[in-house]
Amino acid sequence: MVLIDQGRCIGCGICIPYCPRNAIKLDPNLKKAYIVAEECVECGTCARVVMCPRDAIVGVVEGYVREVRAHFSDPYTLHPSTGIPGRGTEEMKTNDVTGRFKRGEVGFAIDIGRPLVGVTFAEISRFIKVLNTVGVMWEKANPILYLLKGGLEMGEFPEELNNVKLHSAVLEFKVPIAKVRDVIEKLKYLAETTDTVFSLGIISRVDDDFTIPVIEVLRELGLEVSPWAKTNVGLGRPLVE
Amino acid sequence: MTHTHHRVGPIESLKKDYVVLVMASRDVKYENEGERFKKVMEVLAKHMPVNLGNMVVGNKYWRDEEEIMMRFREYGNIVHGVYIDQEQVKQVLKDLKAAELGLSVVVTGVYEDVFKMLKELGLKPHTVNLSLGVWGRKERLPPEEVLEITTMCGHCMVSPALVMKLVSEIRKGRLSPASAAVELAKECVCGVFNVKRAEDLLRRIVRSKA
Ligand code: SF4
Ligand code: SF4
Repeated sequence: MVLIDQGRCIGCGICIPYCPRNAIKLDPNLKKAYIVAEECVECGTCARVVMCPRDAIVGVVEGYVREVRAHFSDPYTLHPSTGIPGRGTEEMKTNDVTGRFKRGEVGFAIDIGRPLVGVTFAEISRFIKVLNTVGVMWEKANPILYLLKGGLEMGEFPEELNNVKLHSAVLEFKVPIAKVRDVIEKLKYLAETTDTVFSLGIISRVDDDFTIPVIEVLRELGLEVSPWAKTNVGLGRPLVE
Repeated sequence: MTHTHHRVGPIESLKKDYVVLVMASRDVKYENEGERFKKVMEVLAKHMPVNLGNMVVGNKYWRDEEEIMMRFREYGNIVHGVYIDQEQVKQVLKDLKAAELGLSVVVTGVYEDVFKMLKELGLKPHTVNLSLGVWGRKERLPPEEVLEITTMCGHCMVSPALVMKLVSEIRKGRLSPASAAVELAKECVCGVFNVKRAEDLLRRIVRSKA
């Protein structure tokens, strides 16, 4: 794990505000900084960015649990299952060449724990189980699913991971547009019962006249769509029409 | 990976924020992918981005810009340029279209404006990822004005405590808003953090709460 070398640290406190999880504390008696292991998600930010006057922040990730945390929290780490950095997949970013999301299908990217609150594996498991009741088509390349034991239907992670916290984790799946209402119902339930937050992204092909078919469904459901969105501009080749 | 998504703030502020991402799908296996990305970086850099990033190397405020422009993996590269006005984005897209590199290009920003640009350039939006915001225990989030800054790093590497620390330094006259914005940008490894918008938002926080 990322560590502060107690022999080198002079307790100047420079590093403390840099941690997005408030995991770096100062021991008032010893006058040394230390990292709270349960709160640290191994994002690597402190080791990368802080100009520690004594070079006391050492980035060493050791052991299965710490490695899992680093793979999901440090964007600079290449994920072994997807071969790309980060917590998710190529998603709609390469849809112009992969055709992952077809016309008439709607994708969901549920970023649990984001922004800044964090999420445990136990809570991710609960999300998977609730969404399984709608019958969604999971994105099989999503790295979080590689950690499941007993398959997607069970939605369970190994016991030792359950209380482990990640900065965030993305669940990705798609459904036919007719099922969007059912998914939204489940998401409303999850929003009411969770102890964390999630950021919701909804993916859709754009029609030739530049309309986005899913927007009408979302508006009928009384949902507010942000003006901010990601647009794949269709320059990839060979193009999936 | 949704790291350019879910930015928040008033529409006038969001309209000064565009991320152009270029990515090679692992399903395609492009020949000479590195050379293609060198060309992409030339285009992104030419139109005066406020940030530039390469997932192999890092962002331009933390790493050497020359390395960002030149070092790539054999496959699966991802790069970003961040811009503050539509004209820049249009020029970038025009050049990328002309270069015919075959790589996937995603523009994140106010999508109605992006669609307008595409129409003017004779391009068509292929797929969108819409943001439906944050759900659940929103009372656990930092204040909105801090989130406007921190959400510019979708991996949430930009620390709210650092924002507040730097605001206090600006108030004491020890740091300029521009330098504070650069310090925050270092935390966003991918280089998608809009430094200019952060500077404006920091000024707003400094003015609003004395
Ligand atoms: S910046 Fe370095 S010396 Fe200062 S408190 Fe942190 S670890 Fe210790
Ligand atoms: S690795 Fe990340 S979460 Fe852990 S102490 Fe450093 S900044 Fe905080």
